[in-house]
Amino acid sequence: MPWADLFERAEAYEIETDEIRAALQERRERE
Amino acid sequence: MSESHKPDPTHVVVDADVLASDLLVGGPARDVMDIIRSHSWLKLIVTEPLLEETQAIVESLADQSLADDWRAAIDELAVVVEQPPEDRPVLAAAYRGDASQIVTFDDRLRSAEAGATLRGLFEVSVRSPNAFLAVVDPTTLYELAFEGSYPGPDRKPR
Repeated sequence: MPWADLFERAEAYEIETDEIRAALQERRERE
Repeated sequence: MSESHKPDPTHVVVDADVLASDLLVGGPARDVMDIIRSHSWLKLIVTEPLLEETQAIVESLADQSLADDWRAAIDELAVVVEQPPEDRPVLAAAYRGDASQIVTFDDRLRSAEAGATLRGLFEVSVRSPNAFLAVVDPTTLYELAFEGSYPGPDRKPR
């Protein structure tokens, strides 16, 4: 399973959970 | 509606916000997914639209290559159940996938009112990643679902 590699690549973006929640809420409201 | 939902303690729905946080943030979302990834008898239940919206979120916040590779990895792990077009992905996954638990960051879904409404439709516990980690123990789940004592994790989480 390539999970460790995926996590390492994702670290570069420094994303917070609140950004994910906001993006998801916006997408769900749009649809 | 509840007659055809038979909650299985080993079936867990993980919402798109937690799936994306597992990949992009870490923390409790990754701890939840590590538990699922490290036990082959724990089933991650999803729908195609739930995977699509997670993939879209990852692509919008990170990049397409990472989103595509995440999709390939999650496709190997998840059990995909059918979702009627009018249903909300996480609820359709729980109902149609006989899940006993939903893990989500969505406060509205975790509210007392939402819980009562859901229990009127079918039995499912809705928890934040931290709440899931606080109350869910693989040993207890294993002994609820199978005969015999918990053998420990049977695969690597990452």
